[in-house]
Amino acid sequence: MSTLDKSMALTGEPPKSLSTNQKLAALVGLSGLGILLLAIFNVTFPNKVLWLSISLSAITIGTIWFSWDAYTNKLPGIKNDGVWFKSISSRGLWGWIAGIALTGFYIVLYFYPEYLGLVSDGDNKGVISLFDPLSKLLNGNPASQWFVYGTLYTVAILAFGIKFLWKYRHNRYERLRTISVMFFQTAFAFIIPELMARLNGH
Amino acid sequence: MEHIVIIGNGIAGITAARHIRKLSDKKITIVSAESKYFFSRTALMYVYMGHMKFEHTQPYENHFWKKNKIDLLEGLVTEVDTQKKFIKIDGVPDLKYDKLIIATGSKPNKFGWPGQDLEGVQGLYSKQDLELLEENAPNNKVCKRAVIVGGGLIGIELAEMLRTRNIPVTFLVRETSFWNGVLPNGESEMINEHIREHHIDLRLGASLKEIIPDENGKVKSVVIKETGETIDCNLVGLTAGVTPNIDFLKDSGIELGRGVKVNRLLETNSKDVFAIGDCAEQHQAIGNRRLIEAVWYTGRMMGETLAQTICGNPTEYKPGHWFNSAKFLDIEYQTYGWVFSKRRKNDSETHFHWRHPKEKICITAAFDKDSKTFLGINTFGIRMRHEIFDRWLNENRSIDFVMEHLVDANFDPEFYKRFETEIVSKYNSDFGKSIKLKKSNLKRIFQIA
Repeated sequence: MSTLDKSMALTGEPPKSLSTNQKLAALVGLSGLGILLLAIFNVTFPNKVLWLSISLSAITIGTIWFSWDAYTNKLPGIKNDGVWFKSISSRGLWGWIAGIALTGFYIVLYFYPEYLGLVSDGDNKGVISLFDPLSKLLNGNPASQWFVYGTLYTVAILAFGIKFLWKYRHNRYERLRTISVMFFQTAFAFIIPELMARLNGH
Repeated sequence: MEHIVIIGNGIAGITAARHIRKLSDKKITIVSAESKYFFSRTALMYVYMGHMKFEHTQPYENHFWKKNKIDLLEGLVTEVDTQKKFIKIDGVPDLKYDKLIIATGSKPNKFGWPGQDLEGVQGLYSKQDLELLEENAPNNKVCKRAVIVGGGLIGIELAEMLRTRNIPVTFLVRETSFWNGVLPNGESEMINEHIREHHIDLRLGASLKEIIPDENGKVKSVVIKETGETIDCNLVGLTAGVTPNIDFLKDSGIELGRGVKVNRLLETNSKDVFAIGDCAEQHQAIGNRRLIEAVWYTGRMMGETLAQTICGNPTEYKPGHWFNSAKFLDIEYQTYGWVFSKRRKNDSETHFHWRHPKEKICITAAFDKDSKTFLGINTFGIRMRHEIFDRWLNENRSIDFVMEHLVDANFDPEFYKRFETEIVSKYNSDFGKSIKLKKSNLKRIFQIA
């Protein structure tokens, strides 16, 4: 008899561990999110411009670095290896954590924006106040919860758009549609409305 | 009520059952030793690769069978008695039938290699093979190297599967170039390159001499016949083709060749016994098709055809023009009509070959040297419309016509780069023609008046 530990699972142990690069990228990206989380709990950052820039850059760089490492040594082609083995993409614990966190974020965003630091008659606090400098730059007013959300959404579309472009580099249709989504989100859904608000303002 | 018993729940048997149910109220029982529910065999590889879970390969909900009054019976059929019209099933009472359909598919070829039955040596065909692979090669610590024997479609799939778990793969291909018994040389050469760029150790002109066990009776290494080289490995994949899975019929009186012999109505020599799918062998070849066609869609066609015959509308099996599609790692392959390899083609078959200067994209079109009739086309990395080629083959179009209307046949997704201009210009220069490519025309493609 073989002494091998025979798992009865139909799915075995595919390579799903992260490379060193991906671990570092995850550290960078999550530290960017960490800054936002601290801001939510009303940690006051002395230099908002600096810390917001660090946070958004860290999220972007972390995501791009992580995906670059995932696809750089692969040939163009369909890249779904192992998705049903990974907790995050097969309704495992990480998938549930991500789902609950996002749902919670949307509930707070829509119904309890004051927990994000929205103050209607006075200076913003919390994470919304962190976005004040950027909001003032674009539309001339302090940030709202929608500005925070719009910025994060745009960052996600751009960073994950780059990931998508690498993943689907064999497919011209997917590349074009991704570039289109990235462009229209950044220009038409984010920057132009903000600038128009400034023109309309006074 | 007439009782139809179907042995085998692959695509052929299941299609027959579904169509018999559509056409009648006959009692239907499907017997399978492999799995209770039908699954899509061609998707098995994606379970190992993590693209799908096994249940995703089952096209019908589990309640579908009861709802449609199709009885499912699990067990291995050991004997068929065509006189008393019953079958013996391991562990289950004997089952009487009025009509019997044999749809037992294939099993991997084993050519009597020493060591072929050792632990760690396996084929890749059934659900059990997939489960075994998960034991033999769960990761690259248990399986430090795999050797695959036999360069065909299953071999390259197995290589792709193992590479997704970073298991080093040595791929022994007996031919001088991958699948060149089927593919023309230019295409075969391109696939060689693609296999190697996937870091698969491709050994051409290399066949298996023997498999050597360790002290526990597990595979330890293989020896290559041509060079005598020994390669250490923990898994040997035997993928040198398949054979009809019909051993249990040896003493049944049903006429057997390599498969179960059938006529064009898919009837065997025994009354009320039929055979369809991979395990059926035609008495006479249909066109250029092989006597046994281990192809997914022919199994489906035979099932559909036989359902008509069984439900009172005797129908001959007419598979139409040959076509097929497959995938070699990242390269999609389609074929319509006949494009024979150097080994199999006759002198009057002329080939036109175009290959993209950088990317792994190519086509080969075959035509008759004298009449210039278009015979078939292979495409790699370009998708084509089946209906269009089927129509052109029916209409006996010339190669010039095909080149002129090549745009009509393209079925790539939107925004894909098109290569018809390059292809036709190479055709013109190869054969001294001056064909002008016609613009795409939806009316022509869909034959709208």
